[in-house]
Amino acid sequence: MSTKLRMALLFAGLSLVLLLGVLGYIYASHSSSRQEEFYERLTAQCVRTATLLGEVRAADRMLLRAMDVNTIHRFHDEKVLVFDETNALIYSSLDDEPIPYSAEVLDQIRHVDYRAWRDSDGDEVVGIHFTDNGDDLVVLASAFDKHGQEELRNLRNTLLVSLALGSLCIFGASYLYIGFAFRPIGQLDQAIATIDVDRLGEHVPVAKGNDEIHRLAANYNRMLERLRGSFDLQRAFVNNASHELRTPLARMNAQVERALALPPDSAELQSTLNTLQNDIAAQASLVESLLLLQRLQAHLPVHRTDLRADEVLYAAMDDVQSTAPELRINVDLGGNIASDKDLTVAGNEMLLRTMFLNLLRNAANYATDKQVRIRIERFGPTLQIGFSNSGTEPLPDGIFTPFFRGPQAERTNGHGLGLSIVQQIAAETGGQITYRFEGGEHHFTVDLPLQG
Amino acid sequence: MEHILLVEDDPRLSRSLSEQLQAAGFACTQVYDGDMALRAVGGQRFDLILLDLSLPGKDGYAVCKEIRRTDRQLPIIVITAFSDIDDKMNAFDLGADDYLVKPVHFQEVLAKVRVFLKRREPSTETNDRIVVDDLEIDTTKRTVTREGRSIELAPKEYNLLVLLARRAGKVFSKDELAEQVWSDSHAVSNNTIEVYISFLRSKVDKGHARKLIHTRHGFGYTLSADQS
Repeated sequence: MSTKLRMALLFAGLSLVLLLGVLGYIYASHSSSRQEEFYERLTAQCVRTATLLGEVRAADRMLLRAMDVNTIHRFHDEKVLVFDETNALIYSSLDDEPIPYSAEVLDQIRHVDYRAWRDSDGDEVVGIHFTDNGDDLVVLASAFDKHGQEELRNLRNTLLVSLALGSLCIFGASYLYIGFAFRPIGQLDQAIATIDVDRLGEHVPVAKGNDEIHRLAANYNRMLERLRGSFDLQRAFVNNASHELRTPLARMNAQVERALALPPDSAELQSTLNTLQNDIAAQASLVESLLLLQRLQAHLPVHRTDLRADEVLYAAMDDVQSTAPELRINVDLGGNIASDKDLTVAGNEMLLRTMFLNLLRNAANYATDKQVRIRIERFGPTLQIGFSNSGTEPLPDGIFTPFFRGPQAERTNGHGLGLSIVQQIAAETGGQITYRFEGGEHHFTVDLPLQG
Repeated sequence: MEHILLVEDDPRLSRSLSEQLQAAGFACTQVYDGDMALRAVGGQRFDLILLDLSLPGKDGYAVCKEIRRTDRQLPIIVITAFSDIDDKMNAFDLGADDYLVKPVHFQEVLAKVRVFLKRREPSTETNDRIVVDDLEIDTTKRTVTREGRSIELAPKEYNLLVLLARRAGKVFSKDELAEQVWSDSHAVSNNTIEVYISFLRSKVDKGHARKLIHTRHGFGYTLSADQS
């Protein structure tokens, strides 16, 4: 069942219950007042009969019956019975209609003065204890309220028809309205059903308005934009990665073929094998970087501990010595660092070490004087570690994008992943990396939140 | 001759590494699984362990934890496959001192092995305990206590304290301290030395009436029980 139909049914159902309540109340109220009124009329008939009986008791009771027959208040199936103080029937109207009674009923009426009930064939009965003029009578009057019951039946029929028609109208109207209101959701549904990677640029039409449905459509379009951006990046990443992986493989294959053709003791063979070994190391490093970047971009949980950032930096400085022994590193701790808490960050040691190592390798590649200056300072709750090295011109925008290779990078080995890994690790640790070129120097600044 | 335990289940890689380590002047014992590694460590003294994480039987994690339970000083360098980024990230939590990623480049192995063996050198001296007044440094266990209470120091703080304590009474200039505690290619500013001396003071001297670390203005720092 569609949501539209379910909502229309629900709304119509609720309305039906509400209408049923209101109309039921009207019917019950009308029925109760009819009965009350009818009992009053029967009571009046009892009093009138008893009074007349007192007045004409000496006269002919036939006369009373004749009056009874010709009264203008005559009811349908009317019957009147009068009993004296010994419960002996002293008057009965002419009708054949019986009134079921017993001595207990009569005594009870004598005791409570008034009683009204409905007998087994639907006639309504009123019994009163009449004590005027020194009489001690019990009068029972019974009749069927034909007119009142007909009115009640008509009212019931009218209410039932109104209820049925009203519910139908409410269902139809709510179905149409909900259909109208749900039209944008239907369009959204169609769009989502047909969306695929190649059609991320197709947007759902958004009409003017600021209700939830319009906002949903607008947000859906924004989500598509973000997805498209993300897919484009992914595509570019895969293209770049496969290019970076394929090209050296082809080169390595050529080197192996050449090596196989060389005499075993030749110097050229040694040189070719050395190049091959370097290429293998570079390939391993590339795969390592790609896997790390993919792991970081997936935002999977990383185990963190409290780390002394300065000690991790010193370990990275030892690491970089093996690949860039010519790099001179100068470390300067700011005077505002008062205790080891000012150097403690929550992070993963391997990730932080990789981040510092990449920044140091970057400096080793681009520093014209092969020197890097590291300044560690605390700014409020942030530990700032700045890496500065000399340079000739500012690096272009996009240096943190994977596989980005600036014009200066052409002269160096690398795949353009180091800085994007740095950026991902800084973000993973709750910090950030920024770059500026100032006073002929490249400045990379890592901000990390201090622990506690 | 320094003795290296090589725990690697790939016989070709193990043989190749072992031969190259021996050629570089180290004694090398090869074992192929975790249980053999633990038995070897229990039976003889090693200066360093090269430990592959993925091993048959007891894996590298368990071996690392087991060794660390009894020996916190023995350098352990774990070897991980390059696809195991998580292993690499967790290597330090396991108690490892460093990691190498397969395919291992022997020059890198050698560089790391030498760095860690160099750090252990002081422990080979006959005098493993340095005592200055109520300050005691055990260079084998790399522990520091004062009045019997243990003091936690970061590696550079520890190295700085050991340098000052070995030559207690000698005044070291900031440049001397920088040269001897940091590697040749790393320079640290005077301010950096002051920061670490201040850390040491707060950890070693704070709360003690008798101060051990003194500033000799215009000259440098000294560690001495002499209060003058």
